[in-house]
Formats: sequence, C-alpha cells, structure tokens
Amino acid sequence: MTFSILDSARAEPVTTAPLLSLEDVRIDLRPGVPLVEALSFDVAPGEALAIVGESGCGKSLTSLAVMGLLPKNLKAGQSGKIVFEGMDLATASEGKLRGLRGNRLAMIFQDPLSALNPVLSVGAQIAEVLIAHARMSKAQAKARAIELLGEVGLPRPDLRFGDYPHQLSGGMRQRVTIAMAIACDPKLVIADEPTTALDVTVQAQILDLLTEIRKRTGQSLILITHDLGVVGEVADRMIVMYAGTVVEEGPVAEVLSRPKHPYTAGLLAARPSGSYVHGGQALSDIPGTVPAPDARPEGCLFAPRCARATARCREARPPLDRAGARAVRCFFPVDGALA
Amino acid sequence: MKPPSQIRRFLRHPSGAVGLALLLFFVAMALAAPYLFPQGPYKMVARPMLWPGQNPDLLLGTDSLGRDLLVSVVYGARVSLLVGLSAALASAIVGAAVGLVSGYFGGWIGDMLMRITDAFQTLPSFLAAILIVGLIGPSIGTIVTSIALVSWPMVARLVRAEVLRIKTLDFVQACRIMGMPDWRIMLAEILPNSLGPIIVATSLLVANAIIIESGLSFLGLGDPNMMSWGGVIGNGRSALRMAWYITMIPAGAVVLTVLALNLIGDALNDVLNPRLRKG
Amino acid sequence: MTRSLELVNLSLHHPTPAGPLRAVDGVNLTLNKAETLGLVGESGCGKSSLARCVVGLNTPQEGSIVVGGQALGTSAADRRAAAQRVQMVFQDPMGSLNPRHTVRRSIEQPLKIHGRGSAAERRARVEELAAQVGLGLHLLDRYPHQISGGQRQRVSIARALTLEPELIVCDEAVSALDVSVQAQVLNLLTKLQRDLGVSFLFISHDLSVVRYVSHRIAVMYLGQIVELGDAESVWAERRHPYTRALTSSIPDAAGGMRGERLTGDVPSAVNPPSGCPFRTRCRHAQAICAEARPALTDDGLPHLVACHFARDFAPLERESPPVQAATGG
Repeated sequence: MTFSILDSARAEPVTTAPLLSLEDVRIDLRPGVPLVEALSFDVAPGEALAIVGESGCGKSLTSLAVMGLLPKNLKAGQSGKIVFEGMDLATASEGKLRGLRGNRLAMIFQDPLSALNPVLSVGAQIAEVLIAHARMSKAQAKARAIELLGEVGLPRPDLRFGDYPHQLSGGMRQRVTIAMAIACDPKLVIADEPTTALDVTVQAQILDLLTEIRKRTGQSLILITHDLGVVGEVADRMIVMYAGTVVEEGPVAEVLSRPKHPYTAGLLAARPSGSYVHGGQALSDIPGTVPAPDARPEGCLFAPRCARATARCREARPPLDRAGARAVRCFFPVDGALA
Repeated sequence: MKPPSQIRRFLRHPSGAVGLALLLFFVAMALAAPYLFPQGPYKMVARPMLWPGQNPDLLLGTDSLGRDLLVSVVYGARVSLLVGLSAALASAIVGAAVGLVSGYFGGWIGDMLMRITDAFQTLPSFLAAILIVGLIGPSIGTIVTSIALVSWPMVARLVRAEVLRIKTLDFVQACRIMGMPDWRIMLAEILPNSLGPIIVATSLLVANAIIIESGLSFLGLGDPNMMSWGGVIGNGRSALRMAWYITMIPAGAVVLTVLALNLIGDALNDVLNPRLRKG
Repeated sequence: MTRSLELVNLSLHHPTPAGPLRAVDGVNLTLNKAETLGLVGESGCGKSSLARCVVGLNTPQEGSIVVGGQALGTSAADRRAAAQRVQMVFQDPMGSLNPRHTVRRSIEQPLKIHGRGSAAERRARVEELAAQVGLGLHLLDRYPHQISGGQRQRVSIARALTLEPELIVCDEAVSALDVSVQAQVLNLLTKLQRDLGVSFLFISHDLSVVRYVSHRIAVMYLGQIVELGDAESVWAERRHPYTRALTSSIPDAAGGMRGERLTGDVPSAVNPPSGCPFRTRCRHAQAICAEARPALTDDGLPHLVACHFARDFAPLERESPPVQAATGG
C-alpha cells in the first residue's frame, strides 16, 4: 500500500510508504459525542509534521491515541485505523503497544518534571529504558546514557548522570526527557507542547535541538503545539485542527503565508504584531469559543465563529478538499478554492 | 458546584446510598426509642438470659439481668449516636479552627499550633480517653470531651494542608488585594472550599468516636445512667461462654453503624474531592 | 504629569536556606496616568515578585512604592485604602475566581468589602461592568466552571475594575489563553484604557504581546531592569544583549529563527554573578562586566540601558523585525 506524499523540502512528489497513517479516526466521549472525528493524515519517514490547534481541538487526544495511551472510557469510543509500520495500533494488544512505546514510538511531554521519576537519577532513568528495550548490560547502558545526555546538550554529562530531576532547570529536564525519548532510536517521536512550559530563550534552544536530532537520525517527528511560530521553526508540513477535526493541511510555508481556511487565517491574524499604542490597530480576534463536544453545530464546525459563513455552511459539513499537498475543509476558502 | 447535583451524585453512589440507608435506620431507631418502648431499657421483663426466639415477645432475648435486649440496643443507639456525633462535631470545629489559623497565618503562630497538635497526636487515643474519663468521672459530657480531645489533631492537620494549598490560589490573593480582612478570607473564602475533606473526615470521626465510646463503656467507664451499646457488651462479657448473643447483638449494631459511616465517608470522598472528580 | 505608580529603589529578598534570594534588586520605575508599562522577562527574573509588591502581597525590604500619589502601607487600613487605587488580574483564569461564587458575586465582592452602594446600586454597577468587559448578562449567574477561559478572564478584569482603580497590574494575564481569545482580551484592555484612562503594569514573558499593548517597555533580568524606554525605541534599538536574545528567541512563523541564541539558564538569584547579572550568558562579556555593575543610563543612548557596551551596539534595522506573523487573506 503506497501513498503519494509531497515532500515540501524538495517540492516534488516522492512515493514512499508512510511511517504512520491515520484513517478516519474517531474518538467518542459518549456514543454520538465525538471529541475527534474524520481524522486522517500520514507521516512520512523523516518528516516533521506539526499538529496545530487551540485547547480542546483534539490534538493531544490524537497523540495519545497513536501512543495507545487513551484513558479506558475514550479507548472504548475509538474507531478507525492507526497504521504504524504496517501494524494497526488501534487493534494491537496492550503487550504489543508496550513493546513499541519507548522503542519504535517515543513521546515527549509538556511538563518534564512530571514526566521524570523524582526519586531516580536522570541517568538511571535513561539507562533503564536502554536495559528494558535495547537489552543492554548495565555498564553499556550507563555509557550510552552519558553519551545521550551529551547529545542533547547537557554540559558535563558524566557529572549530570547522577543528578535528580529537581536539581536540573526546566530546560535541562526537557533535554533529559528528549534523551529518554531518543534512547532506543525510535522511528517516530511525538512531542506534545514540548516547549510550552519553558522560557522563550530556552524554547529556542530546545526547538533547535529537536530539529538537529531529526536531521541527524532521520526520525519522524509529530509536533503538537498551539504556537504557529513554533510550527514555522520546526515542521515541514502541518495540519490545523479545529473542534476535533482537520480543517487545513499542507506544507508549513504555504499554509502560513497563504492560509485557505478562515480559521487558520484568523489564528494568524490574531497574533499580536506591531504596536497598538503607537498607531496600531485592534487585533482581529475570532469571536466566540470552540463548541462543546455535545453542542456541535449541524453544518461546518467553524461556521458559528466565521465571518464568511453562509446558509450552506450552517447546513452541511464541508468535506476535506485535496489538491496536491494541500487540503482544506471549507466551502469558501480564503482567496478561492485550491488550485 | 451546585449542592443539589452533589446530593444526587451522592445518592447515586452505591456505597453512599447503602450507608445512608443503614445510618438512617439507626437514627430512626434512636429517635423512636421512647415511643416504641416507653418503659425504658432498665426494666426487667423476663427471666435472665433468654436466648433470642425463646420467647416470641422478646425478639432478641434478655440479658443477664432479665432486661429486654432489643430495648437495650434501641436505647443504646441514642447514646452511641449522640456521643459519636457530638464528639466528631466538637473535634471538627476545634480541628478546623486550629488548622485554619495555623495554615493561614503560618509563621510562629502556625508552628506553635502545630507543635500543640503534634503533642496531642502522640497521645495513644484510647488510653488518653480512659485516663481523662477515669480522672473526671464518667458522664456523657466527659466522654464526649475526652473523645474530642484525642480526635481533633487529625482534622487540624487535614485542614491545615488544605488551607496551605488554597491560600496560594489566585482568588484568595485577589481577596487580599481587594482589602478583605483576614478573618473574612479564612471563614468566607478558604473554609467553604476546604469543607469537602472536613466533611469526609467528620463522617469517619463519628465512627471512631462510637468505637471509643463502646470501648469505654465496655470497660465500665460509660455513663452509668445511660444504656449504651458498649455497656451492653460489657455486661455480656461475664456470660460470654453461656450467652454469647448478649455481646454479639450490640457488637453487631456497632459494626453496622461504623460500616455505614465508612461507606458514607467513601461516597462523600468520591463526590466532594475535586481532584478525583476531574480526571 | 501625574503618576500612577512610582517605585524607588525597590528591593525584595526572600529568605532561603542558602541565603537571601534577591527577587527584586534596586528597581526604579514610574508609570504615568493612562499609560501601559510592559515588564518583560523570563521566569525567575523577579517580575511577578515586583507585581506582588505593587499590590501589597509582598512587603519589600527596601525602597518605596507610591500608587496614585499615596505611599503603600502595610496596615489593614492601608491595604483597604490601596485596594481602591490598585488591583490585579492574574494568569490562571480558573484559579483567580472562587469556584463556589457565581460571576455576579465575584464582580460584586469588592463593593461589598468596601461597603459601597445599596443592593440595587451594586446590582446596577455589576451589570454596567459586565457590559464594559463584554460579558453577556446571562453569564452573571453562572459558576466559573460553566464559562470559558476567555470569559473567566473578563470576569477577573471586571472585578479588578469594580472599585475604579487607577492602576491594574496584569500578571501574565493573557498567557494562559488561546491565541484567538488572547486577541479578544488584548483588545478589551486597550479599549478599557481608552474609555476609562486606567493604567496597566503589564507583565509578560511574551515580548510581542508586551510590544503590542505597551507605551513603554522595561526588560528585567535577575531582579534588575536592564533596558527601559519607549516601546518602539526598545523594540527597534534593542541595546541590551539580553533584549536582543529575547527577541531573536521568539519563534517565527515565517520560519528560521535568526540572531543570537542564548546558552544555559538564568543563574540563581541567591548567588548572582558579580558585576553585570547577565555576563554569564553574554557573548560580549569582557573583564569589566565581572567587576562593575553597569548603571542604567541613557547617556549617549536613545533610552535607559544597563550595559557597559550599549553604545557599541548598532541599532537594529527597523525594516526587519524578527517577528512578523505572515497574515494571509
């Protein structure tokens, strides 16, 4: 089974099997109350895909579904296919998933402090992963853990090996969780808001590190973020989620410079730029809020907040229209339909 | 956060519903005692140590003095519940006050109050209760006081921990910035938001107090003028081999009441604990 | 011009086992009426400690705070009086409202504390405030968990406005909000300033947000102000290396961050570097930076900068601001 994927960097179609492929994934809170709906996307080997959206858009649920970490009540409401390296994760046994997690599939969380065990040294935690998944001896694991700490930019990694999480700064802790994630050379790393809890100067360092690791190892990266700036720095391709579904997809540079969906355009315009007090204008906000899962509108999910919405938008859900590498779920895309 | 929905959630909770039904049964029993048995629990009605069922009129038989065991148990519920509720209420009030003040103000006041709390907590509670009742003399008042005296530190620690958490929340800071006096912040802002754990703890304290009261009565340190479950158990002690039912029937009442309160405590904890609710 | 806020040589030390932590270290700031002063810096730079001093939650060891022409005292009566001159809006819109109070009760609370008005007058005032911050009247009887994050922040703002203070301290007031909601709240703040003439001390880690709302910007590092001036001057010139690092770290939607990258983390304020606080992370640091603490001066500079070499840094090109969100459509 092959899919055609447009690699934005080379801008010419390359036909490869995707590493990860989601097909019509749906996650129900209760029967008939979807949190995520009609979600389909692919991740090519070595690609960095950003999933962007505001709180409640379902981006974190998506990552948990891929990792097989959804809470039990949501797992029961999950349908659709999540194919990773030819295996459907949605139907895989817990044992199989456990073998994949931390090994072929790795995850980086928003809060590095709660992602680390406070009573184990950071080196021991990395070594543990290596012993469990890569079947290394204790001495090998320690040597490799120190190497990894160096690779993620900890100064004097041999000394830092025995440090406990609370002894490190937030940025250093996030570097440690990155080292843990890449310890077994996974094929896919999912980073869920990896820099949201960090200061801007540290965020910049961590984003550089994620890009550097991906370029060096050829791993794929799914970056989940609410920050369009972060997307621009790290990702090749992006999907924009709204109220549990994909509204726009395409190469980052194209989507950010020529957004097609009114929601994407609204998000970009809402970012503060320039100065209000020095002759600037009011920011163009998006009125209203995301609909609650049990109060989803009949037609387009974004219609109640959309200035362009017509009667048609309020009656029918638009499909995700594709053209080349880009896709948009809108009857009346900004600047006309996709070429 | 609206109360009606919480009551509904509580009633839908299986252990909450069972516990509440059980407790209401005992409460109804206690309230109805003088109407059901106007003769009182001390009247001898038949020959001693009649086994339950031996005389169809005396459902639970008689004790070693020929008193109706059913009447004793029904009247005993009055004392056990009265002591349990008032002791728990007293310790909740004292504990909440100490916890609030020490948690809110901190500093040397907080340290001092917590050292006092520690001192009380190190007392072996049952022995301390025996000592106090033994010194002052057994009466409902002293029994309640002694139980409250050994129970409040638990509430104080709990409330203090809650207050330390809540007082850092922004809405409390906002109240300080608005110029709200400290006592009002404590009583109107922090206390209502820490009621959940206090209520849960109090329901368990009632159970604990009933057990301590029964123990005291069993040892002959109960109020001699009132029939309590522990007292009946104590009376039955000497005849344990021949007539174990005299001990077992009131003991069963204690067990069921304590169980009911624990079930209620569990349910309250599930309903009122916001950290569990938002998962 | 009348001042809403004057901080003179403000210092706040928190005792720690390792010695005093100098959260705020000799800060001088003024804020004019109907002005917004943006205070920007990373976590641990002391900006929140400074905010807490201004609203009376922290008592500084040194220096004075004058709000609306009157010094800030520490007694209960002083605190009550100060409440009518300065209020605060917090970061976490959920935590800043009592979960057991309705929206109406939260907004009305300051009036009750200060015994203002009859019940009917208070009711009218609450409804007026709700209209001012764009809260529908149907929301007034809801509880905080029943409304959205943006609406909660509007409630907090309404509550802060209730006593008609001169100054409102916004401590990361839009940081927890989604971009689209953040824009709504920023628009509300600028509108309120225009309509009511209120001053804002606007504290944020996000320099683009600070630049958008502020008349003047102060950049804080390790408890000290390192650059202070007119917002556009600070943004365009960026004479302090730390300000430059901050701006070049802002992720850019157009792709490819440029400029200087900081290494390492903020040093501990318990044991700050000698001389210039920034020298341990500064690529331009020389011997003198370890010896002498640079004064905050505008001598030969377009605005106040605390750097020995500020005069040597060329002003940045105005044409290429590092942050410019591509806006399509």
